[in-house]
Amino acid sequence: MPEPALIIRDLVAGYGDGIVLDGLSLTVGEGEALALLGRNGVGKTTLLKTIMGLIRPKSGEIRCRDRCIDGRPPFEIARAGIGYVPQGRELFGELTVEENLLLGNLKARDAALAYGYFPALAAKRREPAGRLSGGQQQQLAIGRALMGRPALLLLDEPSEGIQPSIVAEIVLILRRIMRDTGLALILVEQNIAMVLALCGRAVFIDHGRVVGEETTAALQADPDLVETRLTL
Amino acid sequence: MERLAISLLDGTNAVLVLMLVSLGLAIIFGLMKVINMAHGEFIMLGAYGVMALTEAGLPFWPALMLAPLIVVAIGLVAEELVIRRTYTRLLDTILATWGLSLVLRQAIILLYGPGSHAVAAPDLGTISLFGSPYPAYRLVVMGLSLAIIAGTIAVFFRTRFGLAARAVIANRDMAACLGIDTRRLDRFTFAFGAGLAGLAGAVMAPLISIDPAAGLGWLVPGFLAILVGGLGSLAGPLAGAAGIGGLDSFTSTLASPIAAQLVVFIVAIAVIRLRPDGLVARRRRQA
Repeated sequence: MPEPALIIRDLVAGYGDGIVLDGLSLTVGEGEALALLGRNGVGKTTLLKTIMGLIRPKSGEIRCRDRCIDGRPPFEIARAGIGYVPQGRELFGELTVEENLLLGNLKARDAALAYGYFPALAAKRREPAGRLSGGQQQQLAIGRALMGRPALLLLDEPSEGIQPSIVAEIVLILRRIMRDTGLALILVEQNIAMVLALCGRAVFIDHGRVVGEETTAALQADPDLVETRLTL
Repeated sequence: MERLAISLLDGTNAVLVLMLVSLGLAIIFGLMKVINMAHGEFIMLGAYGVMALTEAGLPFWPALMLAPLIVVAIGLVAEELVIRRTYTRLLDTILATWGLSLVLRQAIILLYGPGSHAVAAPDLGTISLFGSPYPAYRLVVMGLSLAIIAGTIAVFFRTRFGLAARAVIANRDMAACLGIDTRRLDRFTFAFGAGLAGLAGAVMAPLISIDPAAGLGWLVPGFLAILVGGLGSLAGPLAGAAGIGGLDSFTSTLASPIAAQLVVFIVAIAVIRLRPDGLVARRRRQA
């Protein structure tokens, strides 16, 4: 396995006194695309939020490229090289496309990096983000995260509410970005087709722990394997 | 007719200063969700700053520039010691800033006593307007206020700092996830808002009676301006200040200051009842 972009050891986190992640451990290699699979409420989104610093871990360790980031504020984690595309995208709807992209890197001279991968956004640079279609908004959310030149990208349900042809286009662009930049990613996704097209490995999460792991080649070879794993 | 024209100018003067006050309040609330009950005291401190500096021998104009910076420094200390501990607890911000206002007012009473003081306006003479002499200093106050308001708008809409601030106002967590140090932005914003109040107090120093309660008279109209104008954008507080300040001046001229207060409150209640989001309600877009 290549050098890890992220190492999580025995992570415990949750909301208030409730525990959602209960001793979760996983590793993401440099340039690797890892899928998190599991039923609703098992802690996939909580894991991404905890990595990003939006939820403070109760115990455990999170390391990004050899730097301990658990318990650090989100802005420091973003600056450490982790990009985040949350569920629902959370764009700044009243700001223009260009302003949204520049927020991904306030020191950038322009948003050429994002426009290079998502040329459709360049034509809409002066439009408020809230006026874009769902697919364009998702491209903008990914482009915004890329502006910070992250080493690891966290993607939470990026295909939600987007038509399949646009999802396929986003997958192709993400693969190109990974090839160009060595970007690693963690994908939380219900759309198995997207998982298979993008990721090399998938881990199964249940009750806040990793309960299994498969290569996506194995999942592709046996279409029932995902359901079997989730049922177990 | 001449009297009305001069009253209109005086009203414009008051409106512009009220805009400075409302902008400071609105920026602090918009970014940090802090209802700053000490804003009036920051205005008062600006006036006292000019007084203290001129009494210490500094000429008026440098004192006018320096006094708001002193208020900025006080704002930074207050944010670090008090305000930051109340973030996300709206009601606690009211209590904490009210406590801060008491401390600041009592500190001024200890230093300068409870009585009122005056600062001499710089001798700029008068300018003939509509056939009547009008104090040139009041025109300077208007020009300076306009410049600061325009500058504030430019900072928010033409700089990366302003872009970051608007992002934090819209979605603090997401802004932080993009690498924006929201804590640092809070500190600067509170100090900036305090500085705007300090500037309002400083420019008004030669025109008002300077006493420990000098800022209170601006606080209520400042809050009313925000409620009437709306908090969704910088345009809301500015429109609210224009409406509240203009109505107050106009009614004071035609009737009396007491009648003006009555009219202002009745109109404010009516606007809040009919348009709860304010006159300049933000159009909400889902993204």
